[in-house]
Amino acid sequence: MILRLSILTIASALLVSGCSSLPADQRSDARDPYETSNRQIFAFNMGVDDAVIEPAAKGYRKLPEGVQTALTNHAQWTSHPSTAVNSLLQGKLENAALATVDFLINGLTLGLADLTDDADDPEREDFGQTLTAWSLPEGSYVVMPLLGPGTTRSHTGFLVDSITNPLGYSGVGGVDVIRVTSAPVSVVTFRGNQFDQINDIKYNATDPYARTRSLYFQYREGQIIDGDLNVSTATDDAFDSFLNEGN
Amino acid sequence: MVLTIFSSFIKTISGGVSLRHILLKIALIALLVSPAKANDRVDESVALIDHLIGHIHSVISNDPSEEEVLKETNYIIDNYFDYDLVARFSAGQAWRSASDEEREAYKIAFRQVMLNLAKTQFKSLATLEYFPKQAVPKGDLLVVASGIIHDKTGQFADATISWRVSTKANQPVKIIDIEVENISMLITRQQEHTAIIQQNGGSFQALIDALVQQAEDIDKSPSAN
Repeated sequence: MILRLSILTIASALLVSGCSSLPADQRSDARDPYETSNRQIFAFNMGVDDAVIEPAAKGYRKLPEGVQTALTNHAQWTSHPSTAVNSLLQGKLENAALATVDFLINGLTLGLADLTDDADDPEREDFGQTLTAWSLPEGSYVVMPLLGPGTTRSHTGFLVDSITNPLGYSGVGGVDVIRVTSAPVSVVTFRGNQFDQINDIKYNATDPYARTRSLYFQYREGQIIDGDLNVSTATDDAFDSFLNEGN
Repeated sequence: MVLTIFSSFIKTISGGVSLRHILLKIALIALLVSPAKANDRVDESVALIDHLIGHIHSVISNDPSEEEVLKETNYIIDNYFDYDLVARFSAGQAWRSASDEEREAYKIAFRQVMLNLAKTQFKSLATLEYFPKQAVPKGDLLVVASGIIHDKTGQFADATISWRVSTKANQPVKIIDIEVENISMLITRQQEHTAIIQQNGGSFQALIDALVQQAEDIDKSPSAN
């Protein structure tokens, strides 16, 4: 499943790169040169959400709380190998160790139970964040079919994470099941856990596409700075410039 | 050479005290005064947020009617927020080219969206607690105060909230933005509003119409009634 998504990512990236980019003065956001095609793909994804993901997320929310927690734990657990590798690549050794220990210990239950239940959960790290740490430019905003929003950098990161995740290669019994189910479980648990927030965007935003894009960039920046309150963000800079313009 | 002349001049006017001595004094005064000013701004910002939280809890504890929620939200917008700055920022670059009438219509429409949202969500704040964490100046005109929101029911995980407070000289400190888990309310609004204008061929009126429609939709939603 993950490999198929990766192939889809490559195919979509090729498709999008073939689309003509908007001139800078016609963009509603400088980072979004493919807005026209991105909006079409976004509409397609919303259709998929209407037909499949939102109903599945509704079903997930009707499950007993313990089952919801187990599925969420499992989805997080499948990302630990990627977090461990990328933490190492970024020099975050403590986080790499935490992710490795959590993966091994919780692996006893295939990640369904959090046996290391403590405040020191590892921070999620992906290859997109590693590329950021290596100062690679963000690239353009691209919405992928099924995968959703990202930048060329973050989609490249997703592709590398998908290919390098050891869970995708091991042929050991239950791992085959994980390989097939991990992506849908991650999507449904994410959608179910953020149900109201996503529905608020989908049904209440004046421009759901633009709001999603804005939220994506801000959320991603938060991930990259690891929520460090002492780091000046792009938002801080925007307000600083605004106030210094004499407003 | 210039420094020697300047030094002699300073010595003359200061009654023989050395230049080094005076510069040291100036540096010391600057060191003492600047942080004090920054600290004042930070303290005022923290106090404003603390007061706002107290105000909201006191309103909720009286089980307000819908009309009272609207009245209190208007009071909060006018007294704790710099609504003029909020409106200008949220409109983006288009604010500059908008006419006075359009600006006024925008401010009314955007306020109505905020009021209608408050009507649906005000009482849900009852279960939330706020624990201040830190407040730091960002530049000369802004303080960012941050803390943790904790849901007493345990339904929601703890979240980091940051308040951006405008601290312009000779003006009362006022909140201009609320950010939850790195998502800024105003940046999100500004980027969405810019896209609406762009999608409608640069029409500011289209944004006003969209906000009026949004306010109506929120008002008609089941949670608003």
